[in-house]
Amino acid sequence: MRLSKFDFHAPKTISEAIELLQSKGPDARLMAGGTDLLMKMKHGAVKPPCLISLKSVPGLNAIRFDESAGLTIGATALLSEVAEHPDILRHYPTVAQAARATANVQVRNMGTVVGNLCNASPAADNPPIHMAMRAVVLIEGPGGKRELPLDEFFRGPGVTALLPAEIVTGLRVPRMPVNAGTAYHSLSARGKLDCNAVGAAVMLTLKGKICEDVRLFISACGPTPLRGRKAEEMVRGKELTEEIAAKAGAEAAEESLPITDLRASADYRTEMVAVLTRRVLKEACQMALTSQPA
Amino acid sequence: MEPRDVFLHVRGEAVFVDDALLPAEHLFAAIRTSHVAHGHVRSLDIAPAMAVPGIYEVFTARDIPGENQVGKTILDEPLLAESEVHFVGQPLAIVVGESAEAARRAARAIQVEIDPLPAIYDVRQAFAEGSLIAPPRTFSSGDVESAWEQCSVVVSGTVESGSQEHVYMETQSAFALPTDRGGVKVVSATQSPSMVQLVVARILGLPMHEVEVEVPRLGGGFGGKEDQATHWAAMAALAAWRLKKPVKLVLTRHEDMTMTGKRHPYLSDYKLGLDAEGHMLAYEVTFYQNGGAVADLSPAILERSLFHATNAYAIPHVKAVGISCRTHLPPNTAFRGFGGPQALFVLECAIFKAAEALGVEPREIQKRNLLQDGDAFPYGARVERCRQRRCWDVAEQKYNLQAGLKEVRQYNGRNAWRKKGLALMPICFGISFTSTFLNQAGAFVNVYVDGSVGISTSAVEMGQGVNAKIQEVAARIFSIRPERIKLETTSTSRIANMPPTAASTGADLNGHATRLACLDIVERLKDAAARCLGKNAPHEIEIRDEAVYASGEATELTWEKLVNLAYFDRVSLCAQAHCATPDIFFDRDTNKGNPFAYYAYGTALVEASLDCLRGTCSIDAVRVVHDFGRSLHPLVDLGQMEGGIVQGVGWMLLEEVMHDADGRLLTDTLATYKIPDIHSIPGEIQVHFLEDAENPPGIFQSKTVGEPPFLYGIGAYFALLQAMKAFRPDAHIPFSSPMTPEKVLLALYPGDRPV
Amino acid sequence: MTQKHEPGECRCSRGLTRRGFLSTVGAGVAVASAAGKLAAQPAASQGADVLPSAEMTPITLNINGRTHRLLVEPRWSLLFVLRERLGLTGTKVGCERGECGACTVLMDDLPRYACMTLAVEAQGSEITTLEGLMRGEELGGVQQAFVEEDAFQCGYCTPGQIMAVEGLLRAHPEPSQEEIQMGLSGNLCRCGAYVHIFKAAGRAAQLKRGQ
Repeated sequence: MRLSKFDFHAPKTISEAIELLQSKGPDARLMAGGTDLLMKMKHGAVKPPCLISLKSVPGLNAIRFDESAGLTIGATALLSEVAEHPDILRHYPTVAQAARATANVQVRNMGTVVGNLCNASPAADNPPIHMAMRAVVLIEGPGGKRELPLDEFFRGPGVTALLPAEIVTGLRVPRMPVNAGTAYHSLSARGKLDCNAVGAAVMLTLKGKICEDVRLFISACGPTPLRGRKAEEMVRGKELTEEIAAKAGAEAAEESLPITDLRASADYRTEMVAVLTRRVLKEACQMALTSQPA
Repeated sequence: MEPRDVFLHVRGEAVFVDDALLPAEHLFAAIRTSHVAHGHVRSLDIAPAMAVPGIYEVFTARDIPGENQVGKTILDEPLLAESEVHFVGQPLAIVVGESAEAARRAARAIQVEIDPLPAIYDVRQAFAEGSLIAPPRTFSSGDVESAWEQCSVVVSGTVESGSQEHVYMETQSAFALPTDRGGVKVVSATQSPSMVQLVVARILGLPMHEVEVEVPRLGGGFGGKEDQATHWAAMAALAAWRLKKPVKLVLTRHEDMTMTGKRHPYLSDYKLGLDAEGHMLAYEVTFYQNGGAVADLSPAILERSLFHATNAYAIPHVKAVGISCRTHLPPNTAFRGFGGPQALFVLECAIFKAAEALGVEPREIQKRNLLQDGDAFPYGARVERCRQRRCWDVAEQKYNLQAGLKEVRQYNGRNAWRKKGLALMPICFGISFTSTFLNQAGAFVNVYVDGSVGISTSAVEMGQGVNAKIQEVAARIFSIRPERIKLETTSTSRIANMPPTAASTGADLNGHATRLACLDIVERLKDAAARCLGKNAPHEIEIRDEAVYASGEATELTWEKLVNLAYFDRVSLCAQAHCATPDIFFDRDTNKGNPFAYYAYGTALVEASLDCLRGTCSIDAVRVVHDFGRSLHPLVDLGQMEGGIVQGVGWMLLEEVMHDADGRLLTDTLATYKIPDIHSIPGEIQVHFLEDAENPPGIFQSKTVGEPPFLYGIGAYFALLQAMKAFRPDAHIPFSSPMTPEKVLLALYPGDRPV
Repeated sequence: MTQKHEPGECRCSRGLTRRGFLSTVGAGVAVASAAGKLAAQPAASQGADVLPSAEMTPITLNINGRTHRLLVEPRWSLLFVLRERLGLTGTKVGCERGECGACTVLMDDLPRYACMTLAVEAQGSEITTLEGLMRGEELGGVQQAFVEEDAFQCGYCTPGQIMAVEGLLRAHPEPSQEEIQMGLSGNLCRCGAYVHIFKAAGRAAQLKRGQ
């Protein structure tokens, strides 16, 4: 099974890559790890005449952690590197977990977190937790640099807020607030390695036992990862009891917009949104409780 | 020299069809198929394909010099469609080019216009419209109609079992080379070399001796290469023969999944009657088999469903009807179990339902009705040397059923959202081809002057370990080190008129043939030794552990010396032998007979865990007591057992084949069609080899393994159902496989929310 | 019905192929001849930014400790190059879509799918295939463990499974049960030999530690 023909570019700098994108037009495709793009090309879904690989840009694969600025994940940092990075495991355990939940070891050794975001698949593993944690997308383009909250990045399946010739160079994830907890769960209808049928990620902050702030995102149940605002409302300002968690789950199920496809039926997805929401809320709450000083 | 090519495999040196080095200038073939499930071919324009750079030729049905027919028993399958197409994926044309890529691009470029005709995918509709592959068949015993009155409980219903894609890791593949005599040599990944030979000869209009078929080894078969490897071999042969160039045809995974048939989905109506004590008195079942567009092996597969309708149970009054429906799906075909699993599943569903009606556990009904000597199968065969009850009893004791049940009850009491279930699964599977004539095989044994041995048989090695078993047979007969013995590739030039390597018969048929051939040579060697030693009769000579003894006394002769001496004595060191399974027969007019050499028996305890919120199920343990006879090769048998269980569980819980409303396969990649991976296998598989289990008809008292383990997977379905019932005793659970998390959940919460 | 193309007039565009050269001269010679052909071309491509689709591009691959210089199209997968250009058929084709694991190789010690890796992107990495695990005529530790634990049936997925275990052990010399499971989760075995493959991974870890 051969791919269709393309010119292959390996620019050494971001500005070179931007120039290439400008000169080659909208059919040129950027590629980080290539796992999603090459798969689409193999299926014949896209036939880009020109591929621009970012792998030769030095330093773009860096993962940096700073006590104040938080975490920066470069565009070509591998999923496996994110999954195993000591600082991420320590300060962003759910980010590592989501990276680790992506596909399998071979794919994680090729694919990147940023690529997973830019692919803008509604079912992708990484976006929900990054959205919950208020991650910011770092963008460079012909007009210079800009930053965009990840919340605002996704516009539809495969569609992002990137302007022509813009490149995502990385992702910044702020430090987790004190007394905060995070959690991510995903589920596929058939087997662990299937594409997700549903995913849910949350970050919540406690004051005592009261849930002060909460951000909940559901994936694979709409054109982009969806924010569970009504579910958040149900939780905010309250102690997260079984009952509240269950009610929040029901709200999230109401809010989700699942479809029936090969992976699962809409009915099943709706049920699962409720279940996963309940679980991530409880798990994040547990993490926040244990992180509080005694 | 491990016969299973162990060392070759771990070094990456084992050559599969696609790995072989071919002569320079070989070409590649690709196939253009129908995109319509049923229709008239209005036009087929190959000109755009010929315009693609690097294309040599395009062949359509009109280019076939012989007969355009690949059917086996029912001749209803053209190699290339002519005026009508009958399924999406049916081959229309073969394109040959200098690269596989060019050939595929050209195949896509062919302009095909098809006027669609109404298509049928559903068996009930097919039956209603009289779209059948063969007339319905009925196996019966006793008198069902009058028996219902004696029953305290009668349950009835419908059972659906799903399809299953083979996913042999090596896709369908073949290459063909023209011979100087105007014939062709085909190297094919097939379980049926002789069938390929026959069909290639038929397609090309050649005598069979001009067609040689060789099989190096298969990267998995599971029945999917029994009948359906033939097409690709025949296409490569046609192209090679016409172009006088070597031609290779290897399907991509996607092509393989869309063009080939799968396990037959069944829809079955059952009615089961029992007395108050749980004795099954009467069973009526109608199997509607979705055969797909052409016969393939469907009638034979359906026949095995009828043979195994009553599984391991004695039921006096039985009426089993089999209806093979012609639909517009790709032709469904053999898959491990060959219709047996579908039949067993129906009866186990009926038992489950009957247990609910009687207020007992299914295992009580199962146990009460197990076969024993003196019983008879509905097709008249007497039950002999039955070990069904022994297997059950040993399983109960060895795996401590009562303690297990108690643990499950306690677990379920402690956990609100997680439940466990435990089910028993007794199995009985007849060993032999049910087409009696296929139960024959040949072996050809060469002993070389240095004492090494080469063996050719009818058997194709596909991971089932048949070569290891044949090597073991020869090593025992000759009493030499197994390392001296090599198993050759399978070739129609060395063994003629081979049966497929199928129906779990490979080791028995070919083992017996090998035994007979080796015995011939041993007799000649003993004669030679007696002549040489001068003072002993041949019957006083014994070859033991590579040494030659006379009247129990060691001599100076070793295996090597003896072989060498025999050669100089002008003794033939080659032997050919033929084996035909004795005492089997079946009358297809009365549907009575004794079609099986023997039966495989066993019982599994299957334990499942259910996450009641997510509907996900894991199989915690499968614990088996199985009758292997006196196992010929325990390591191989253990692997077969474990692998069969994994596949069976996959069929029941995980693997779902889906088509769209136009008969196109939706689950056409390994991303959408999930087979068990390392996460989805049972947490524990324990296998106990039943003791004192000699099996005279088997090779060296052994029983074959192959298909039977697949049947234990059915237990996973019922373990899951037990867990579901523990969570929701009133749940209405449909009998429909695979039981995916989605179906589980929808059954547990009909119309309400889990939280 | 078909017009006849004589091979002579066929618009053939292929370069060296596996069968083309292996059947005549053998792999080692072929590499040399390929390199010879490249001599007239600009040196290695590693400095070049653009590899045009229409042209064969010279690349250098480091495979099993040997340097191979060859001409590729940018769209060729590493799998295609290994099997069809270099004759390294120990790496198997199972799905060509990154779904089965039969083509697993190591790049800089990390297991990857060769079918989803562009050959041009494999430059600069140390590539290890199954053939590269041999220590002369002796089996590597993982290979030995697969023999000892009978960790296969048909053998088709075996090369990929072995490479996945090799990669796992290079990262985690003493893997936990869960790490083994994760490490093998990208490799399918339809024969269902998973129990034995799992055990072989554990045994291989022992062998590699010299136990």
